[in-house]
Amino acid sequence: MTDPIAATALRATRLGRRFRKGWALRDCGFDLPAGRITALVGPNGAGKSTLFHLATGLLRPTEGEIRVFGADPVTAEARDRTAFLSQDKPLYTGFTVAETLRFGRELNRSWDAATAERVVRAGNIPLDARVGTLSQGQRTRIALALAFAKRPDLLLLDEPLADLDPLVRIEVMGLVMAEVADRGITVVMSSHVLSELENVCDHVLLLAHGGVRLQGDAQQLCEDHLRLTGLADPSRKGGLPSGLDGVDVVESSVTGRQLTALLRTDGRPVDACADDRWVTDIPSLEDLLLAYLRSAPAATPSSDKEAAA
Amino acid sequence: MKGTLWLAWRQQRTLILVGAALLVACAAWVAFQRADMMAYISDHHIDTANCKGWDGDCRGDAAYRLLQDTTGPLRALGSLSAALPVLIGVFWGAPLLGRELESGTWKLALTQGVGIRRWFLSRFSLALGCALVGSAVLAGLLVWWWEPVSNMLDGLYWHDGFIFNATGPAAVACAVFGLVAGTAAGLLLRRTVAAMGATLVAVAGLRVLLTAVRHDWVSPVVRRSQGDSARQYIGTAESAGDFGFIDRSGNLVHDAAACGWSPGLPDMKTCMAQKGFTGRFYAVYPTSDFWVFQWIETAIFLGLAAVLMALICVVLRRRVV
Amino acid sequence: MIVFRIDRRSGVATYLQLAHQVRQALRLGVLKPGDRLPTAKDVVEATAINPNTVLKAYRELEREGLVEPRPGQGTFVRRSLARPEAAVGSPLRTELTEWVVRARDAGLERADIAALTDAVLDEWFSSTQVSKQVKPPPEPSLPPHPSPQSMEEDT
Repeated sequence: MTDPIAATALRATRLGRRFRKGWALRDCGFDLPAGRITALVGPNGAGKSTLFHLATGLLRPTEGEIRVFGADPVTAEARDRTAFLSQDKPLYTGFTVAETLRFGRELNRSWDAATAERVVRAGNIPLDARVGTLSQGQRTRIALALAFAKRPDLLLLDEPLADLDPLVRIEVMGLVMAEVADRGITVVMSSHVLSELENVCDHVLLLAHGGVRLQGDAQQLCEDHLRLTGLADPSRKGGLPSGLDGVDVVESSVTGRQLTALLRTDGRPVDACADDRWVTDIPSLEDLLLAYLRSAPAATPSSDKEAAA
Repeated sequence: MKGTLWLAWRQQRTLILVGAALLVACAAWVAFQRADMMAYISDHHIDTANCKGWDGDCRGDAAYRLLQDTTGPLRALGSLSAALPVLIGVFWGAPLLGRELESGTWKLALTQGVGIRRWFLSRFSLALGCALVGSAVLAGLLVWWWEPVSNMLDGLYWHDGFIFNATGPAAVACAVFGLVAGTAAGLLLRRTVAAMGATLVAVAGLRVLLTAVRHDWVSPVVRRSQGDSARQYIGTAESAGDFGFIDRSGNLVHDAAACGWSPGLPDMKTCMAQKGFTGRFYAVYPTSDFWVFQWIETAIFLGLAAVLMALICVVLRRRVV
Repeated sequence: MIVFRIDRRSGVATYLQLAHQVRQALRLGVLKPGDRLPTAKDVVEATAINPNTVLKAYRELEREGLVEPRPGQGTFVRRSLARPEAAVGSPLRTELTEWVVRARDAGLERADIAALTDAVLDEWFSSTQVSKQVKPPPEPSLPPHPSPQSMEEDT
């Protein structure tokens, strides 16, 4: 396998895709590091599924390009290294479990039958059961068995936990994480449930209105931000303290006399927050993502800077 | 079977097995019926070669009873064979991509190790092979059975829909068109049931349209007779529905009623002399035109299938979402 | 073998929760020197957390000298935190018990005694904070052993 530190698993350059209704993704650029678990976050219609479809070659970009370990997603090389679990977790309902596994074996150049059977057996799913008779959780397990047995380097999961009950969610995420621990694969995973991502993901890609709004190492991003709580300064617009020049205000709101704000400081000390009228702390990943999701207009951090200055 | 071909077989095996079973049953039934028919012909010493045409020289009731007994079953088989392209299009073509798109399983298949081209070609080739074999066998069975009693007295003629639309290269080409049309409808509409409906309308509609306009593409042969002498028998040709007289300068007068006969009118000879007609004519499509019509329709079906196939390839290349 | 439990709402970083649970197990004698810690794969399969979090917790414990990785075999416990000095019947404990009896006889309430011991402890372990932080810093500067937490729980 390639060096997981240095390599980029998924790279997009000025990536755009237009549908009849308009642009689903536009001018997206990002590098997702290999060997990491990236959370793909964004409101409905932000382009998450479109991005997955572009990364798997199910869809061709209208402009720009996307590369899987440097290869075009439609090449055999990229297909061999990528596994994708679509949001609707499609399977052939008329097939038995054994036939579904055979499907994987027949359609892939490398196939690890032992892994597939281990994952299926661990879920106590009989091999002769029809897929159509299985529960949603069992189907997800079969879909993961297909994905793992392919021995991918990049695993793309579009809302893998939707429609699953809480116990099955832990079970499914546990399966994925065990595979990560075992083989060091790169995972990109979207979810609406941000709290599910907190303990799982160590990298973030946040989309809004078809563009990249935030990306980077999860820990670093949290440390680059500051949550500010205190008495709103009535003499200033928005109640924010002075001395915030050059600091991005991601979100701020005043309730009564209290001001809460999320600032992007990029690790610089902020003078205004030093006095004891203000309580500052590092936001949790969930807090951070929520703040970015709430700050509606799809502006890049650099244009935020201009607005705040 | 390996790879995508295994997948294609696994997904189409119900259709293939049911189709094969029906075909075998059909063949057995036809073999039995034909043997029965041949026994009747030889038992009653029917000289079928001399019975050809409306005015065939057959003596006795045996030939008429023979046709009475065989025309119905032949029509049934002809109907089945003529409907086969529609059935193939609706039940094989439309779900070929439509069901995959509707259920989302195309996303599963295309994110495995194989490309879209191999995935599509495997499933389409298998369906195409089955359509070719099925339609050719059915068309062949029909001809084999019909041939001894073809174009005979008041039996089934080459230009009857039950025969013309059900045999020959055009029937096979129509099955190919049906499959491609169904596949294209499934791809474009992305819903199996909607695609089935569209395929039914398209394939059946084209068949009806071609039957209606078929005769406009080929000029009939004009058969002339001098004076009021007896006309040549129509034989096994198809009447073009065009009768009339020939004037002195040799022009055709397309009016069969110009010298009609009824009490009080002069007889035909007198009438023709009065009006200056030198002879009579009628127009027919001779039996050999079967092949002209067949090749024209074969070309149309295959041409349309090629156009739709190109469309399918373009859409698939651009990806299906 | 130890079973980890993640409290997702505690606000305490997950790797610290894991390290804390290992220390606790060492103190209680659930884990003994030579025992193998569960592999990262085993832990994440049960808890559905990022494997790097487990590795980070194990590195933390390794830094504290509690565990050691053996290439190709796993991570093993090096030493116990169970302290015979604090066990029932040990001289230190007997002396402390006698002192508490005298303090009570002198009229001190439970809270007074606790305040007194805290004050003395603060005096002797002044560089550390006993109060729990809501958000621990990413690389906490851990005190030399015995940690104040262990003292607190062992008394």
